[in-house]
Amino acid sequence: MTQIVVTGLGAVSPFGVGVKAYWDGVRSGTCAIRPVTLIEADGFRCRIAAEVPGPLPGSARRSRGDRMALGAAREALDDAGLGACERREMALIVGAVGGGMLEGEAWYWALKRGGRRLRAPQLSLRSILPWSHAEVIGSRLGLEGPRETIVTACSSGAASLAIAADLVADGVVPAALAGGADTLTRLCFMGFNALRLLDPDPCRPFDRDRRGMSIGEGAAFVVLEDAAHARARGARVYAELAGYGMTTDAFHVTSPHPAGEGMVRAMQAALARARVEPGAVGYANAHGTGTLQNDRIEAGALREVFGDGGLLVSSTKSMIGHTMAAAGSLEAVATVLALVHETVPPTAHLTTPDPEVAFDCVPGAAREVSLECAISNSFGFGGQNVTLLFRCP
Amino acid sequence: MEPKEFLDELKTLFVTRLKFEPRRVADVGFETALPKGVEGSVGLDSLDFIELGIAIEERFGIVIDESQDLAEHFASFGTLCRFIAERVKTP
Amino acid sequence: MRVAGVGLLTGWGEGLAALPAHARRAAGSRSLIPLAAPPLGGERFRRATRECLFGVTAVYALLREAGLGSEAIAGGDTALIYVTAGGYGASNRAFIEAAASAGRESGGALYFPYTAPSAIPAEVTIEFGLRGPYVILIGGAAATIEALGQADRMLAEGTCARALVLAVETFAECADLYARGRWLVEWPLVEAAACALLLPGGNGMMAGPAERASPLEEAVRRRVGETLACAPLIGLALACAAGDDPWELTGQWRGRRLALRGERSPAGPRR
Repeated sequence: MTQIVVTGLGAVSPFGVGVKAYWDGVRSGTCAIRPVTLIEADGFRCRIAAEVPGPLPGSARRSRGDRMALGAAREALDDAGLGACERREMALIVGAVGGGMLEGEAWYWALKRGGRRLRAPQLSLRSILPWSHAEVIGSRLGLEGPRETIVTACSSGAASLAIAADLVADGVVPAALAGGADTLTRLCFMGFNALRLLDPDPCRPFDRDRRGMSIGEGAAFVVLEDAAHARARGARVYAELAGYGMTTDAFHVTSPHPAGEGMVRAMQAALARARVEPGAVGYANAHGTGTLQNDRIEAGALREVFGDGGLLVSSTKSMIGHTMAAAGSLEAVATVLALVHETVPPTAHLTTPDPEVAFDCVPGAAREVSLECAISNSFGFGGQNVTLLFRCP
Repeated sequence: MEPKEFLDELKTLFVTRLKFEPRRVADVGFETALPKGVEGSVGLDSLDFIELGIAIEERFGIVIDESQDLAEHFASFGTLCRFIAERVKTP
Repeated sequence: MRVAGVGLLTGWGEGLAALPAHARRAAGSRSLIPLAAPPLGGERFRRATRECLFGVTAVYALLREAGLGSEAIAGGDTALIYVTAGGYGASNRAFIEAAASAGRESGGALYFPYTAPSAIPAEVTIEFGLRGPYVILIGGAAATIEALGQADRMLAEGTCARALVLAVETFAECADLYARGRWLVEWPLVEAAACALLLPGGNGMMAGPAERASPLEEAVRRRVGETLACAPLIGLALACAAGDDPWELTGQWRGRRLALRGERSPAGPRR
C-alpha cells in the first residue's frame, strides 16, 4: 500500500501568520480568545471569539477567508519545497464552510438597512461561496490537478486530508495540498449563540464546569505526498498519515449519537487502516469543543477504543476556539508537530477535571513525551466523524 | 392571564416557531408531554427545546435561567404553563 | 463500477419520461422551472428544508427505479457522496434575512443547522440509516464528475460495498440573485435532485480534464436545461436508458471541465 507522508505545513491562526506563531501559541497554552471586533456583537450572550490578528497576507481586494487560505497554502507549498512544475499536477482539496460570507453579509445587511440599491461589490459576490478558496489557491499557486471543495461542517478540514490521501494512495496524483479555511461570520456567531452552545467566557474543554464552545477562525494546509515521491526528491518528512476513518452517525442533525457510536467506528477505522494497535497511540488531539455533550461523549468513545490507559488527550480549541472548517486541518498540524517535537500541547482553562473524563487532558502546560502515533478527531453537525492517524516517520 | 390562555399561546408558538402543523397541536392539553420518547408526547428534541426557550423568552418577556435543570418544567404543556405563569407574575 | 440505477426528479417531473425534447422551448418565457413539493411530511420532516426533502425523495426514487427496499442500502457499507453548487442558498439567505430584520437570535436555533450544506446528506443518512463513509463536495457538474471518480475508487478499494452519489440543486428562493449572475446560466435554471447507486465491477473510470463537452453533457443541457451538479447524474441516467457502453460524461464548473471515461489501466497512475 502506498505510504502517505506529510512534507509541508502552513497555518494562519489566531496566533498570527505562520506555523511558528501557531505552534509557539499552542505549545505555551496561550489563550487567543478575546472580545469580537469583526462583527457587531452587542446584545449577544457570548461576545468573544479567537480572531486572526492583522495584518493578513495578500491583497485587501480579496475576501478575508481567501487571504487566510492563500497565506496558509503558500506557506505549506514553500515549506515542502515544491516547484512550479511539481505543483501543476498536485491535487487541491479544500475544506470550507463560510467562504466569503463575512463580506457577503456586510453587503447584504447594508443593502437591507440602507433601504437603497447598493452596488454589489464584485469581490463579495464572486468570492462569497465556499469554493472560492480553491479557485484562488489553484490559480494563484498554479495547482492544476483535481480540485475539490469539501463541506462536512465542523469536520471539513480533516475530511479534506482524508480525501487527498485517497487520491495519492490511488496513484491519481503524486502529491496533494489539503486543508481548510474559515472566517468568523455573523451567521455562525448568531447561529451558535442561538443554539446556546457558546460560553460567554473562553471555552473550557474537559472541565467539569464547562459551559460551551468559543468560535475561532483561521486556515491550515498540509502537503501530502507519496513517500517514494518525497524520498526521490529528498523532501523533509514530518510524519506519516498512516490511516483515517470517516463515518456517519445517521442519528440527528445537531446532536452526536449519545453513545458516540460513529466516533468509535471512525477511530477504529483509522487504526485498522494504519494497522496500528490502540496502545501505540500516545496522544489524541480531541475534537474537544467544550460543550457538555461533546466532551462527555467523545471521552466515552476514546475510552471505548483506547481503554483507561495512558493516552494523553488535549483540546486545541481551548486556545484558538472552534475554527469551523479550518479546525480539522489546524488540529492536524498541531498533532503532526506534537509528534515532531515529542511535545503534547496542553488544554487551557482546565482547572477542575471532569470526573467523567477518564484521561489526563494535559491541563495548562505542555508535556514532553515520547510518541509513536497520534490521532486527531473532528466531528461535524449531522454526525459526520473523521479521525486522522499520524505516525512518526 | 388564565392557564388556558398560556396554553393557547404555547400552541401558537409550536406552529409559528417549531413548524408544527396546526392540527397536530389542536387537541393537546395540559397533560400532553413534550420530550421525545415519552408516550403520547409531541416529540420535542434538544434543538426544539432551545428554540422553544428562546420563543418563550421573546413572547413573555421573561428570562429563563439555563444554569438550573429545566427538565421538570419542560415536561408537559401543564408544567410549562405553570413555569411561565410564575415568572410572568414575579419577574 | 456498475450503475445499478439512477433516481431522478427535475422541475419537469420524475424520471426521464418527464423530460421535454428541448428545455428552452418547453420553458418558453420562464427562466426557472421549480421542483414540485415532495410528498413527504409529518413529524419526521417538520423542520427539514425543501432541499433536504428533495434529497430524501431522490433516494426513494432511486430505490423504486432499482427495485430495491431501504434495507438494501442501510448500514456501514454504503458510502454517500453528496454534491451541490447552490442547494444551501435558500437556507443561508433565509437565516441572514431573518437576522437582518429581526436581529439577534430570533428563529435561529431551528434553522442554523440547516444553513450547512451538510444538513441535506445528514437528513438522508438519518432517513435511510446510512452509516458508512461520506463526502460532501461543493461545486457544479465538474464536482459531480470528481464525485463519481471518487465513488469508483472507493468501490475498487473496497472502502464501501456500494456508493450513492447524490446531487440536489434548488434555485427558487434565490431566483433574484441568480438573475444577477448572467455569467452562470444561458439556459433555464431547472431545479433537480438525482441519486445514482453504484456497485463494484464493470469498467474502471478515469476522471481527468476535458477540452469540450461530451454529446451526453450537451444532450442533458438541451433536454433538461441548467441543473448544475445534477447534470452528470442525469447524463448517467440517459446513458443507462439508451444502453450506451462505453459512455463519456463531462461536466463543467467555473471554467474547468472534467471528463469521466475509459477503462482503468490495471496498474500505475491513472492520469
